[in-house]
Amino acid sequence: MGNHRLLLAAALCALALLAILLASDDDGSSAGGSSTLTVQGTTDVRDAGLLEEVILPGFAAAYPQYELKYIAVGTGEAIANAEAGQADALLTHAPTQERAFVEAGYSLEPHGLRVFDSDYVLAGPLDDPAGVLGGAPHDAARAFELIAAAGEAGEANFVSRGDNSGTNTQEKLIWGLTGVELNEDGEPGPAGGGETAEWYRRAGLGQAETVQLAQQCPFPGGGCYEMTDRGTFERLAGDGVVEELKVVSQRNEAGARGGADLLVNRFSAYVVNPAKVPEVNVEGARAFLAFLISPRFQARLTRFPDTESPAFFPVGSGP
Amino acid sequence: MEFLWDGLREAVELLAGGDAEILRILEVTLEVAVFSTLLALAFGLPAGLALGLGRFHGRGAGFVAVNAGLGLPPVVVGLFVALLLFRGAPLGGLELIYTVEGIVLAQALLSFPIVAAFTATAVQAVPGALFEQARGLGASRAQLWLLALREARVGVLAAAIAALGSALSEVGAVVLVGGNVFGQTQTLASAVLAEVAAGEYGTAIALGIILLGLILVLTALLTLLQQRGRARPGWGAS
Repeated sequence: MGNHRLLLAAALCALALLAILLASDDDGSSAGGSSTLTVQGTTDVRDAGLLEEVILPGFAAAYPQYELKYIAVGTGEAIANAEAGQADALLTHAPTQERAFVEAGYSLEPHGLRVFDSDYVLAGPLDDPAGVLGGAPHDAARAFELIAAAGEAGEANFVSRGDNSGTNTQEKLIWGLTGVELNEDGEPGPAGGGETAEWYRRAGLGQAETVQLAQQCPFPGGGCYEMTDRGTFERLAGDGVVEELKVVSQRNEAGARGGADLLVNRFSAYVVNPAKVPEVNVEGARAFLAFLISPRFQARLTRFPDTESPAFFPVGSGP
Repeated sequence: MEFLWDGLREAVELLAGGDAEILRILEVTLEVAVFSTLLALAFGLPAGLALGLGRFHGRGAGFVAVNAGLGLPPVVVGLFVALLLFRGAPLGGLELIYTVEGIVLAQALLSFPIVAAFTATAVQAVPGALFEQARGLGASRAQLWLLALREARVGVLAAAIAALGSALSEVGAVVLVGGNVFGQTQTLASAVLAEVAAGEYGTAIALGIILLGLILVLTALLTLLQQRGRARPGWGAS
């Protein structure tokens, strides 16, 4: 028995010593930061599988000297992190937020590099209580007004990402084109305050999670509508995860409010300005941008995940 | 229900196939759990001994602090650690942001109060007469502390088990400090979060099942160690 206890005590001391040794050892191995390339980018790219299947292996093959760290967060958080010096490059999809980023001098170039597009769709319940599919299949602003009217009547809800993401930013831009009363945050609600309309639900979740929330629709009146990325929606529908929602409005008409580009989801990349934040890996960031617009990568986009319904479109080809 | 079966099947396939991604996630998970627990033990055991047995000014406040630390919100700790580790921040020079080492640091901060509080309580329960006797026999302070740890080993190992469990299941601090970078700083728990965010419920369940299995195996090993030599008569035995 005595031996036992001694052994145990000795083992504990040894473990403690080992911990200190290993901890100092670890610090050494993380050095060599110059080859690390940190990109703050939108979750859509990760969630669609593009990051894992195309960007990571492709970039590693083309530029083996850099270790790419893609921090997948919402566009708002990505920009905030980049401004706090946590990025060498930025990959986002919210033109209005990006403009502020550029104007504040955080971008090395005076404009973003458009790298690819995808498009937004408006999804809703199969029975479409707001009648969007019949009333506004190619007019997002009109569709929003129909949903707002049905919401006021207690027959529908609108589920928003509510997280300052690119999708959320574009969604608010569309609300701004409607005749619906908006609060000071640009969301449907009484003007002048921060409150939102009863039927307008802010999720604070990622793209796919918000689609799931809209499908479950745990709100009085039911009938949840949601704006999401086409790639995400089609993948979830294809996997059988989403069966009770369908696309009700998409591909805005040129004559509709906001024009044909209203539902185009533009992804742009930026090299962070080393004059604004310390220790930017400018060369690595430039390599990342060059990779994104390389003919090889752009051609690969047309086959991801397949040629029939690609989730992203090469620059200029449009959905 | 179908999801669960598919998830279980996928878990077995991932493990049996020696999938490189899952191996990397397992590696990160184990690194975080083991190193953070060892660090927490290295600092938490002495702190717990001092709080449990020492007589010094501020001991009561220290006790309150470690007990409050049991409820430390991981996401808040993660936020502060991340902000401190950001480039250009006070600890930015360590280059630990978005690294496994950074996660270990944050998790060690979360595990430290667990170890300290459990250890302090356990050594307090050791009969004082034992120390009197040892002191009478000329034991040094270091020997007294070792004696206390030995006598309180069941409680001390409970501290290690709790710390390890917390490290295995943590996500808030892991994501904020580590960035949840695919193939680099994803743990099993944070990978589950990413898979759910992507709507990949099958893979999420598979990873969750693997994590539960890992927690069970590691906890079982420590429990064996904890309960060894405990073949004393229980309540029902004569």
